[in-house]
Amino acid sequence: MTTSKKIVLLGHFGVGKTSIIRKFVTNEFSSDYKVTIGVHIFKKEVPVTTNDSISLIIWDLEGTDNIDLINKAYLLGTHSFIYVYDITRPVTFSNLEENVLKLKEKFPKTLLKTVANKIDLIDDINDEKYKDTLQKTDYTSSAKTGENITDLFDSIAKSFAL
Amino acid sequence: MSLTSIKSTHQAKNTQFIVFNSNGDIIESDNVLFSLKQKEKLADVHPFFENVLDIITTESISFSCVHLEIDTVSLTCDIEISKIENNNYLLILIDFSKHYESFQSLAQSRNETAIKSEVLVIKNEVLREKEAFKNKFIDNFSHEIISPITSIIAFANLMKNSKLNNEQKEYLEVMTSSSHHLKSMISDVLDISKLEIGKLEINNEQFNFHKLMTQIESEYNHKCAQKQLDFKLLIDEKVPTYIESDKTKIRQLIKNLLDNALKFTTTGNISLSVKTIFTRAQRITLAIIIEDTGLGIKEEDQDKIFMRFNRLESAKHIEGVGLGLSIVKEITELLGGSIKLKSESKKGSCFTINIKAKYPVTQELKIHKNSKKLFKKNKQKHQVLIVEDNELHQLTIFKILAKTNNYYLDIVSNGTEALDAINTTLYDVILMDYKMPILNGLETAKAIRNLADKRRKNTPIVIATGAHVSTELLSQKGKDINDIITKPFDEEIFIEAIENCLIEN
Repeated sequence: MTTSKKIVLLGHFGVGKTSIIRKFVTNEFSSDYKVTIGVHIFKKEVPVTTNDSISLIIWDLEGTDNIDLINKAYLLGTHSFIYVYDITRPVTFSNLEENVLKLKEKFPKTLLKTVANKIDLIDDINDEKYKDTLQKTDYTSSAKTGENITDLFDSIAKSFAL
Repeated sequence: MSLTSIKSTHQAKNTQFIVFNSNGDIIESDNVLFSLKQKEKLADVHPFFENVLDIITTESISFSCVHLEIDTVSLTCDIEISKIENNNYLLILIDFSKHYESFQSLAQSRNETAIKSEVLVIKNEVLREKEAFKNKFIDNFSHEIISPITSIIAFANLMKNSKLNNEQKEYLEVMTSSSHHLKSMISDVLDISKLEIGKLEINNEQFNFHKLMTQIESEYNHKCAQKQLDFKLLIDEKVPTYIESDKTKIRQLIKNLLDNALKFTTTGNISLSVKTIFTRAQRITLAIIIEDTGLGIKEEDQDKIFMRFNRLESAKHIEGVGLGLSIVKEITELLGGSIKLKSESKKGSCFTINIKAKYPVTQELKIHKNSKKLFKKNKQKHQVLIVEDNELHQLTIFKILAKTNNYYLDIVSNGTEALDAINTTLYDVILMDYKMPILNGLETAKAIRNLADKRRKNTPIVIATGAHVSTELLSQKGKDINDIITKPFDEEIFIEAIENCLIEN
């Protein structure tokens, strides 16, 4: 049996939301940056048990630092949010807590995962300067190397199956 | 043609109307944009519709800028869904692909610029951190080197007065000269690192400018004589005796330029002259001119000489690292002054520094009696307490002061011991290191000022600190502490600071 669940990726522009989705859906990566405007929608089926799978409908939203400015219709019916930031650009996680809080207030029942992307670009993940932010983050990922990308979506899909 | 028909013809080109039922089955479509079949499930057409069907209420919903790829057609549409009669729904797709394409290219360049500038800020930050680390390292390293060199020089000077044969005197001269050269190079590197991080601060004070010039004259008369050169000091009579400026830095500027003149002059003379350029409302501009009959600098090279680490081809055979003149220029500018050079190759050079300073209303403001008179008049020796944790420094200070034969000296290693010593002995002056274990110099000074005994609490205190004078320490000059001297100190400045305290007291 297949059910479909809507996942919305949010975060500042240029953090790699589209790259994460492309890596997951088509296993492709390009370092060329192409701005997303509006929304692109992707689909991928993920097996969650031997007989069951979940169809993930992944909404790739235009990047913004202020989630209040997102077209509200885009967020309706969302089953899980993935908030992505770029570990190499502090401006993309400077308001992480604030945006996470807003999402939790507006969508208290919706699953939310935070992801620190472009982890391949930093030399030492244990560096003190990342410590505080990473403590508030669920996943570190690299769309380039594929690190944790499948795990991220699989874990979300499995949480729906429970 | 009516306006309504024009409007519908125009809209018809980019708008598709689809009717579907509550199961998501397509009932009717005009297929203007995408070719959809009757009875086809909307959810199978594009994943966008999969979840949308779940959220449709009685109200209409609008989505802007949705990218749809259906079969081979790829469009960016605004989408509106509303409930109509018979429990059916109307889906309107309006193609705004061209509009969004132009918006996309604008957003692309806007975001790329923003990211580039963010990355630049981050890179600059990293560079700044690296630079700060490097400067701190140089600062610490130079300091560690300069202290022992200062001790070497101090002890070599003391040794000069002992019984030595001619050969030993020659060896000692070479040792002293090499140590001075090493110390001067390290001081230059230290200054550059401080200039880099903006740590080189201006410490203005009123001082006897004429006396400073005379001290320099005495030093360079000797140095020039060693090279068979004449040295002249000329001070214009309008130059006030006392001025308010940074004495240490003015001394450094003049000495750097004189050392430079000494290096490049083999015959003839070197002169130091001071003129008043401008005076108004207790403000003065002085021209300090250092002229030599040395190697001179070619016109095409004259702009290069103030650059760091720049050594002219014609001067490669002369020792140095190429920092002296760049430091002079930067410190002059830090003092709000300027530097000019006039030079002719093989004839000589003339550097003119213009310095702005204040001068007191009355020259009687701070009359320092000649220190020699102080000791002639008062044959009693003065009791000095040295508070210093470094044993080598203790010994250096002890030897310098002992040589004058004007002081009784007590030495302790920290602030607590100093307070104990003060309780038992009445001192004329306390010389204290700033950085000490247990209580630092300033904390000890505050503790002394809080003593009950009036004579003890008012004992003059001179603090010896590293090359960087902290703002906290500087703010206490004239309050809890009488004077600050920076390490490594030269003998003359060191003794002068102590004598000034004794005179004022």
